[in-house]
Amino acid sequence: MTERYVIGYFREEKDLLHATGEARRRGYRVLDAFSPYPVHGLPDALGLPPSRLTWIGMWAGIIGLVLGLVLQSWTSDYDWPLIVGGQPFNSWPVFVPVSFELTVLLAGVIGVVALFMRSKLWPGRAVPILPHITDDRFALAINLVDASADTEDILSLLRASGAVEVVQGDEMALSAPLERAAGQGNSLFYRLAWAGVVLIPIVTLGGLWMARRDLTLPNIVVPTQMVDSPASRAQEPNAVFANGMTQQQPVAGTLAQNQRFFPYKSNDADRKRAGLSMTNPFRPDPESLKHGKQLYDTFCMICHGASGGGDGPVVPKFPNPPNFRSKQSLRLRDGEMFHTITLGRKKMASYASQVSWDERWKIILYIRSLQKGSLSPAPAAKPAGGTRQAIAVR
Amino acid sequence: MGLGAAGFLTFGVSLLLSPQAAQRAWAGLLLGNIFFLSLSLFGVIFVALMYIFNSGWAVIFRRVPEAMAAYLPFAALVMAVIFLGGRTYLYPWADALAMAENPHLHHKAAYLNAPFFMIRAVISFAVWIGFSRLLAYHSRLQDENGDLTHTLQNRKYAAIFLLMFGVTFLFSSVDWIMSLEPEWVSTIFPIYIFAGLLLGGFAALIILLIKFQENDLLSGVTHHHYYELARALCAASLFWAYIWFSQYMLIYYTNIPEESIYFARRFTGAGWWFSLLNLSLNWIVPQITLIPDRARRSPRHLLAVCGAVLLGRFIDLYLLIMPPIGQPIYSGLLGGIVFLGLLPLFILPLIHTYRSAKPIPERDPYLVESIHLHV
Repeated sequence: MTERYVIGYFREEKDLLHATGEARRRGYRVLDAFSPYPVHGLPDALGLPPSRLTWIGMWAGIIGLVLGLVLQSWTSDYDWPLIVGGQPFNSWPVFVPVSFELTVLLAGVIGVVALFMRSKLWPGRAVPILPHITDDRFALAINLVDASADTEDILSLLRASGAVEVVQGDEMALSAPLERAAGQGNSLFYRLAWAGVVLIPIVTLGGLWMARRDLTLPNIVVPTQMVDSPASRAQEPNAVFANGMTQQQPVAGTLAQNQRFFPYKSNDADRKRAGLSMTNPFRPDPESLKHGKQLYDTFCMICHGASGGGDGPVVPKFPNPPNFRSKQSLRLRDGEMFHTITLGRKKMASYASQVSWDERWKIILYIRSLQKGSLSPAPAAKPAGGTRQAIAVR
Repeated sequence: MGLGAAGFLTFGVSLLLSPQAAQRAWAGLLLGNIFFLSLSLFGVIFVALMYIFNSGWAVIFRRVPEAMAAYLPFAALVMAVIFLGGRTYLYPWADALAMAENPHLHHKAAYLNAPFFMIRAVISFAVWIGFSRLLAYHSRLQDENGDLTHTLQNRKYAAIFLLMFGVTFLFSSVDWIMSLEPEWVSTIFPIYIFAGLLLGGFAALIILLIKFQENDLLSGVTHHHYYELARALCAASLFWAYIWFSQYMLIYYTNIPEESIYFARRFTGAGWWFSLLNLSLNWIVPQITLIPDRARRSPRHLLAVCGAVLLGRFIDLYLLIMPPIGQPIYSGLLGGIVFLGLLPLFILPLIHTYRSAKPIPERDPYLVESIHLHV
C-alpha cells in the first residue's frame, strides 16, 4: 500500500511552528517538518525525544581516547621503546595531544556517519527532495495513513496557518517533479563514489600486504640508481684508458684546484732548491706568531722543546733533534724548513697531513722568533675588565 | 559581617604573631583579593562580550554581572594596602638590594620595581573601573529614555574595553601572581589566569542568579538561561584544563630545572593532593556532572557544581600564590580565613548596586529575545 501525504509549504518559520503544533493537537500523524536551518522549538512542536546522537558521540569519543592511549603506549613502551627527552617510555602527558585529537576525530566522524546511516542517506539511494526546503521554504508533511484522516480538514488547517502551497499524493508522486534527484543513483558521480568505496580498502590492504617484510633484513630499495651508480669506481679496471685503470695520474704540468705548487722530492738537492725559490708569505705580526706558537706547542714542542733547544719532553726516549739556535740551524732558509716540515728529514716524519700549507709558514715564523732569543714572542693581550680579572688570569 | 570580622581578625592577629604568619596573612589577603577581583572583572567582561556579539539571550539578567563589578574599587583599595604594607613579605623583587645582587634577576629590575609596578596597577584599575562604570551608566540611562544609541555606544565601548583589558590583564597577572616567583617565566601564564577568571566567573554568576531568584530580587530567568550558562561553564572548564595542560606538557617535555621547579613546588608532598583536587574540581567535576541535559537546567544541581568550581578556583589560586611563600604547602591554609574576610566586601556592594537600578533592563532592544530564549 503506498502511503499518501499532504505537504504544506510555508514562508515563515512561525507559520510552520503553528501548523505543526495544530496538526499534532488535532491528532494527525505528522511525518516530518523540513527547514533550511534549525528552527528553535521545532523539535518540541514535533514531540521529538532528545537526540540519541550525543550518546554515539560520547562512546565514539571514548573509543578514540582509548585507541589513542593504547596506540601510543604500545608503540612507545612495548613495540619500539625509544628514549625521548629523557622521559619514561610510558609518559602520559606526551600521549594527551594525540589521544585528544583522536577523541575529537572519532566523535566527529562517527557522529556524522551515524547521522547519515540513521537518515538512510548513502550513495546510490534516491531521496525525494522537496523543492525549496534547502532554500527559502519550510515544509510540513502529514501522513494520510488512516482512511479516517479528514483530508479537507488538513488542507484547510495548512492554508489557515499560512501555507503558500499545498500538495498531496503518494511518495512517488511527490518526488516525481524531482527526477533529477532520483536519477542520481545512476550518475557518474555515484559510480565514482562507489568505485572509491570499493577500491580504497583494496588499495590500502593490498599496499600493506605488498609492503610487509622481515624487519631484521635491510630495507627494500625500489629505485636502485642511487646505489648502483653507472659511473666507474676508482679501483675498478677500465678498458677506456690505455693503462687499463680507472684512476689516472694528473696531466703533466697541471695543478688541481686548491693544490699548491711544490715540485720537490725528498732529497738534499731539492731541499736546497726549495730554500732558494720559496719565501714566507706571512709577516711576523702578533696574530700569526700567536697561531704559530699554538701549532708549534701542539706538533713540534714534544721533540724540539718549548724554547727550540732540541730538548723536548720525549728526548731521552728518542734521539734529540738539533738546537734551533745552533749555527747549522741558523743558516737554514725558510724554504728549507718548509721542505723539511712537508716531506720530513732523517728521523723526522712528514707533517704535511697534520699542518696545512699556511700553518707551516706560521710555525716557521715562530721558530724564527725563538731563534732571536725572545721566548714569548706573542705579546700577551691585555685583558679587559679591570684589575680583578687580570689577577685571576695571573 | 561575622565572616568578615573573623577574617580580618585572623589577618590582624597573624600579622603580629610571627614573620612567617604575617607573610601567610598577606598572601591570604592577596589570594582573596584576586579571587573576588576576578569575579567582578568577569562581570564587566561578560557584559562587554554580550554587547560586542550583539547577543541577546543574557539581557534579562544583565544587571547581575553589571553589579558584580561593584567590588572593583575595593579591590584597588585592598591591592594598595597589600602593596604598601606587605610587598616585602610577598615579592622577592621588592628588596632592591637583593635584586641587584641576584644574577638571575638584576636584568629584570627595569620592569620589576616598586614605582613602575604601582603605575601599571593604577592604569589597570583605572581602565577596569572606568569602563565598568561607563557600560553600566549607558545601560541604566537606556531604562529611562529607551534610546537605541546606548546599545550601539556600549558596543563600541565594549570593543575598546576588551582590547585594553587584554593588555592590562596581561600585565596585572604577571605582576601580581607570576612575579611571586620572579625567576620563573611562562608566556602562557596570563591566559591561564584568564581561563580561571572565566571559569570562576560563570560559576559565581550562576550561583548569584539562583540566589537572587530565590530571594525575589530577580525574576524571569528560566532553565533555558541556566542551560546556556552551564554550557558556557563547561566550555570555560575545558578551556582552563586545556591551558593548564598546555603549560604543564611543555614544562614536562623540555624538563629544564628552572622551569620544572614550578611544578616541583606544587606536586611534592601534600601539593600532589592539592593539584589533584585542583584538576578535579575545576575540570573533571563540572565536565562530567554537567553532561546530562537535565543537570544543566536544574538550579539545585548547578548550585552544587558551581560551589565545587568556586572551591576549585580557591585551590587554583592557592596553588599559584602559596607554594612560593612557604612549605609545606598546607601551611598557608590560615590564609583561607583571611580570604573569607573579603566575602562581605564583595557581596554587600554588589547587592547595594543591584538594588540601585531596575532589576531588568526594561527597554533594551534584545529583552524580548532574552525572555523567549529557547534551547
